[in-house]
Amino acid sequence: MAPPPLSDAQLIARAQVKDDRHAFAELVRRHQSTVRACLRKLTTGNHALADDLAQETFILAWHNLRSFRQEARFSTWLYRIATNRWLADARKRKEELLGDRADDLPDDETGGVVPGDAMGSDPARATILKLDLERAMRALSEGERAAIVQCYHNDLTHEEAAYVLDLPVGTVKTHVLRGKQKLKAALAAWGST
Amino acid sequence: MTDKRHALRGTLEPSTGGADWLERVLVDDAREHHDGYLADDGFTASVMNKLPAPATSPAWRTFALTIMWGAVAIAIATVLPQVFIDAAREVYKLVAAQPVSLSGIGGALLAACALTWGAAAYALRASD
Repeated sequence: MAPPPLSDAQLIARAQVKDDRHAFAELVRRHQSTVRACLRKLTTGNHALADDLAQETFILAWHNLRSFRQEARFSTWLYRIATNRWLADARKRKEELLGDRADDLPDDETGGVVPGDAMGSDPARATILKLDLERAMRALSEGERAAIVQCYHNDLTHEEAAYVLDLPVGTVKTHVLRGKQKLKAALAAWGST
Repeated sequence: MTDKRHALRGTLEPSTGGADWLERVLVDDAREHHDGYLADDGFTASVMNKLPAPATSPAWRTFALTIMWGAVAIAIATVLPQVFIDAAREVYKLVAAQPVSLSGIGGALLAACALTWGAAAYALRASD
């Protein structure tokens, strides 16, 4: 009979105490999907950049593993590193990003498609809505986008999102609210039907 | 957030407008995001390859250090035997000259208990 799989906490302890690379590799294998998906959302679909940032996230996690005291979930700690890494990268590319935003602002992205029931049964319409949402997310500030991704896509509470973003809970709530207001304005054509 | 979202999803009508409609779009997008699993496709291997090489000392180093310190000890003992005798005498004086009191024994016992309990608590926490 195969031994039961080790918990995250046990793997972390092994990696912390014995520098066990096999244990860390197992942690990477377990969490790579969520971290990469989170970064894909933050980079609004730039998969190559998201994967590069995800690699850097896990390398930083390895270097800082001894400072992880298990006060938060390991995945939340990884989100924190990933978000910080993304923010640093985004700030570095600020001018480039601003240029992209001007090109991609969701002016009338629905084209000839009549917007209807959100994520309804029509897969083409749902796909277009998804693309529009992605474009609208690009128009948000970094803080607003990060707050919405943490609270909705990563399923974190406001308190957990505040830990990830290193912001007060009130600021996170404000970011989510403002972000949603901007999304609502950008996707107004979809909501009006 | 999940419970709140599920509750919202249950109460929303398909054609609700405004903020509720947006909420549903975000929740559905998040659900899609959450349900999708990204295959590893060599990601873990590439991360592990980029980690710095483990700092392992070569096997000969420990052996060489043992030989070196052993040689130094033998050399000192041969050239200056009195130094060894004096050092041993001083260590004995230090240990033997300590007055042993009941409170001292109690303190040592308490420290040992605290150390044992601390180690046990840490081990239990690590194994959770």
